[in-house]
Amino acid sequence: MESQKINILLQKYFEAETTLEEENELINYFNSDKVDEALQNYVPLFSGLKKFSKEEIPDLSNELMNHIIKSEHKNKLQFRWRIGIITAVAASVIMGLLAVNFSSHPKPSKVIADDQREAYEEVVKAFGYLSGEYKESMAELAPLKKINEAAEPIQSGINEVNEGFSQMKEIKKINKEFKK
Amino acid sequence: MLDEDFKTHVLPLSKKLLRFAFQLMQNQEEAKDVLQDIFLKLWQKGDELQKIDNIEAFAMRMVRNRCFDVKQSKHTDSIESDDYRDAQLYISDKDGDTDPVENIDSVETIKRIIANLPDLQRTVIHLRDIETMEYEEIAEITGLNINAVRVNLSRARKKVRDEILKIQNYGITENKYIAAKVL
Repeated sequence: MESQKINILLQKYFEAETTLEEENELINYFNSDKVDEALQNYVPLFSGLKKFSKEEIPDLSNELMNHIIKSEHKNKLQFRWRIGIITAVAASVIMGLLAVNFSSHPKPSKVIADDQREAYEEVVKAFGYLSGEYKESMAELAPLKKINEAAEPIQSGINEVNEGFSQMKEIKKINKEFKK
Repeated sequence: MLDEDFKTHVLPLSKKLLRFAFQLMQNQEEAKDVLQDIFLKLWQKGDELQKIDNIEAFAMRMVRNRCFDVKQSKHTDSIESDDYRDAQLYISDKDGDTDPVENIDSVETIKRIIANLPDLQRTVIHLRDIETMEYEEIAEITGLNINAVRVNLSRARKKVRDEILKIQNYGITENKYIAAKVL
């Protein structure tokens, strides 16, 4: 009766339709002393599987924890080393840029001094030009002075006439007062 | 996740994970390397681990993926066909120095047969028959649906059964042959 049940279970087992409980039942049966003669061929399979699953396995817990600690430490060191390298590279790039910038542009103080000298020279030139032009202009105005000199007697005559007219106006005022 | 939580909830998985990694890699040192990588990644996940419902299945999946990555990068036998594996297994049985009948109930025979299965079948049979995981968990780890898990498990179990029967029959015929020679 039991062997019939085991046969059914075996059939289900090889079709992967058994539950864990049924599989456990098979393992217990084939590792017992009451295995049917006709089913002896399956003993090596189930006894082997049972022994395999119960086999002692070395405990690697400590070894694994040590590996984790070592790796974490190594990672931290690598991280710090990378940060150091990045910082050094960044610093040298900045220094390089500053050096390039410094060498490609003239010093500001020198620029001012050169510009001032140039400006001074330009101003001197401009003043020289202006004074020359002024002298020339003044020389061109010399004939006008002669005209002024020639016009002076006319001006004095006109002044005398004007004085005569003003005296006549005063006489007219005195006559009016007498008539009153 | 705090250090203490990690030690109490994650580190105890190391035994199962090591056995699984070894099953996939078939090399103790490589399995250890995989496990170290996986535990470091789990540690670095920190608080994210608390959001994961099934850390065991999650870690198993990480181990599986990592093992396949390592194997692919090494161009190991993952591309071998099933026929080639079967042939190799048969040759190794025939050439073995030990007596097959004497060795048939040995756990080493089962390990060797499972180790020669294709990657997917090996993963599925290991997770079910050695780690006694539910189909849903295996589906989560392998990324397959439950039907595909069942199909691969069924194929794997039948292959293991057939290989054992093959070794048994070989032992019997060999014994008969020796007995006939003696007589």
